[in-house]
Amino acid sequence: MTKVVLLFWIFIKATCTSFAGLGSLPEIRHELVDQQHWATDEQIDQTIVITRTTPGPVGAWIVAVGYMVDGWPGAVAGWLAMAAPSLIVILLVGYFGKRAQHPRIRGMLQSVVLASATLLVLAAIPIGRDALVGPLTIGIAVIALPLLIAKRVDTIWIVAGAAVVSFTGALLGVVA
Amino acid sequence: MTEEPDIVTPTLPEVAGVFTRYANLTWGGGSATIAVLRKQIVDNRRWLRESEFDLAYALSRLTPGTNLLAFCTAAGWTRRRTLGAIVALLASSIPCSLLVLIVTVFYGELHGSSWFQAALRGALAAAVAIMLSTAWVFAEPHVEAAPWKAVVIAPLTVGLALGLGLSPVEILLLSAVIGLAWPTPRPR
Repeated sequence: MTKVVLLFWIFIKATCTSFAGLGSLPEIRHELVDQQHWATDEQIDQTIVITRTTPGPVGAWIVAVGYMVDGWPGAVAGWLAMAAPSLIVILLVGYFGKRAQHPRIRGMLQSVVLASATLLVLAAIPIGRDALVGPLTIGIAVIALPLLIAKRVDTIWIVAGAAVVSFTGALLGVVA
Repeated sequence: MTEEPDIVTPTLPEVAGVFTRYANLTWGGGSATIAVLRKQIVDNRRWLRESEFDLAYALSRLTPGTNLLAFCTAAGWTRRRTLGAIVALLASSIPCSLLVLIVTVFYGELHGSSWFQAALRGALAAAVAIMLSTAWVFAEPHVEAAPWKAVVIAPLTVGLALGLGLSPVEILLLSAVIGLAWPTPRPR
């Protein structure tokens, strides 16, 4: 089996059995670092930093891992393994969509959305611990929150404005 | 399928354009990005009804892999079936993958650049606010429609995650079971 095929097999096994962007991390780290010795712990850590650096889904970290292990073919294998499991949702939407007005299905969807929203708040805590490190970054978050909720300002402008403020603050020597 | 007059069926290039622009340019992970997409495809463009959005969002959370891509696939399928699903999936996964590749190739230079790190710190601080506002945007209609369910589900989720250490998918499946046993009547 060529390297890229085995790499894709490792990736797809991990993405098809995990339910979040970094959920596949333990399995992929075990296979690539401990079993195949194709990557180091440091490289895996770098890919996590990279996915935090870029916008879009956190699951795209697997593309960086693929590139580090096998160049462009590895990156394509990572992209395929990231994207392919999403097609499963068509079966779910097809089945539940026909029954979406049933009170029990409505109850199920409502409960899952409420639990997801709560999980999102919990997920923001560790990111906040890392990102809100000084008066400037705390100020950015405090000002951005009501703008997003009340004014419904487009997120792209919030992110761009925050980056510019932080960059300007660094130029002026303001503590982050 | 008979469409309500206020629901718009997008062309495939429109699907590609919106998902390319809005699924690839938001920090804070999948849910924050889905909140941005919600504003575009439910509020601004009326491609999906709120109930269709909830269906796509909830089921994408229960689909293996990357939730954001599953959501985009479900949203594309809802209005344009198979071609819409494929176009939305490609549009939401290729640009962000290319961005990841660019950063991977230039990782050394970018990681050592103080201006890049400063701008990134600001973007991540904004991401925290985006995640919190997203949680509220998603929960608000259900908190208003079923406050007792919110009072039960939210603390239960916190307890299961922090107290028992259950994984998100285990908590979501448990929530689904509770929801099946606690039906929500049809709106009048």
